[in-house]
Amino acid sequence: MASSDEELVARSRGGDVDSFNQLVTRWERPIYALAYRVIGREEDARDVCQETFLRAFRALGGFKGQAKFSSWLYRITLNLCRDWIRRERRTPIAQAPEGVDLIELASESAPSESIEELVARREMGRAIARVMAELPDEQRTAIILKEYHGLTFQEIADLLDCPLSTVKTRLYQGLTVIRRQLTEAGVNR
Amino acid sequence: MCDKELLVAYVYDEMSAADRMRIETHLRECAECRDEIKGLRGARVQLAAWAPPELDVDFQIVRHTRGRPQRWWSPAWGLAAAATILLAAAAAIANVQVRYDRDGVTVRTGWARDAAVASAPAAVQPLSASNTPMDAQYAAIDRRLRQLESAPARPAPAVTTAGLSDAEILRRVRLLFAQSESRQRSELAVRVAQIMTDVSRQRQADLVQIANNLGRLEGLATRDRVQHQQVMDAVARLAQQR
Repeated sequence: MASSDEELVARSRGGDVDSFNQLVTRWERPIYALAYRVIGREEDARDVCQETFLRAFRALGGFKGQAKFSSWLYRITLNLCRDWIRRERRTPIAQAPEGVDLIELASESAPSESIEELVARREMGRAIARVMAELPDEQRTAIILKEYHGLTFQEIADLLDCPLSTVKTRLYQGLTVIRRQLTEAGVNR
Repeated sequence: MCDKELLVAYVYDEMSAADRMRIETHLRECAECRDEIKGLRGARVQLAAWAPPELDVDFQIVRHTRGRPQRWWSPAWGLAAAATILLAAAAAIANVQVRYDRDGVTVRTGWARDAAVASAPAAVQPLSASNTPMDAQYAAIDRRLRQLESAPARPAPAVTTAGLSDAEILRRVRLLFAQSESRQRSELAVRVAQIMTDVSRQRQADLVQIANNLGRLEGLATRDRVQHQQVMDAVARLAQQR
């Protein structure tokens, strides 16, 4: 039976590197996906992902378990993403490189999915990435945490240090903009 | 109009039973809010199409317990691991056999395992255990590793192969090959589909163009026929006048 995050964290704090590596293996994909969707660049997202675990490992002694380990990782990742956006002084370009996007979509295709559907889904993915990149940071982050990471309203509020009602408002505004812009772009399912 | 926060909570099904009952009662009467809910749900469905690229690097924390100061993320170890994997793959492909006995180290290579071939003098290279060129190569590799580690490079994910058996390394190499092949097949399929889509679009555009041209030609032919008829009428009128 797999150990829980809390058990692995406790063992890692006792100096067990293998336990921490299990946490890395468990969380590297969600963390990478979060970084990629926030900053939109594959290479930089990978760097952010790596830096997140490095910082977590170094700061493990200070992690007392008040929050979930995943929430703690998300917070580190979001801080790093915010630093990246500030440092680069540019808005994120949420567009996957051509080849990578194709491969990713192809590998995710269900057996029943036709090639035409696959291509359509790829086009849709690109359109979503473009629209998301144009959203204000706070709306984009709220949507990413809710849609792709399944956090509760309260968890998002805690992570972003804002009231619960603000999270709901950001989600509403973001979803409304996405719907309108996709309709204007003629992208519909 | 309904409370937007309540609508969002309903769309994500994250609300109390009392609130849910309240909004469902409201939705039965308010078409505007029903449309709003439908639109928000539609946006959520579309968001599902956005997938990040596959993360193809496994991060590992590596503890160095001997020698130099600890560095957790070292590009040199990544290279060393890659070199080990390549070496293992090459050894598997080339059917390398290494034996150490009282005669020293024996290295045998070759595709066939035939005994006669294996015993052929040309395929057997006895080497001394204290072979100087090999020592020099070790020293060169060590120098290169130190050089890479001391260079201010972009941090790369580190992988450790310590404790891995040859079988495990080979398994990983085969897995990498299989993943690579799978990705290439998928990419090819999508590119072919893209080309087919482009060809189809171009064909449709050509058909429209042809239809337009035919229409124009038909119009010209009709005009010529009318003009011809007018000339013939004029000739007939002139003939009657004479």
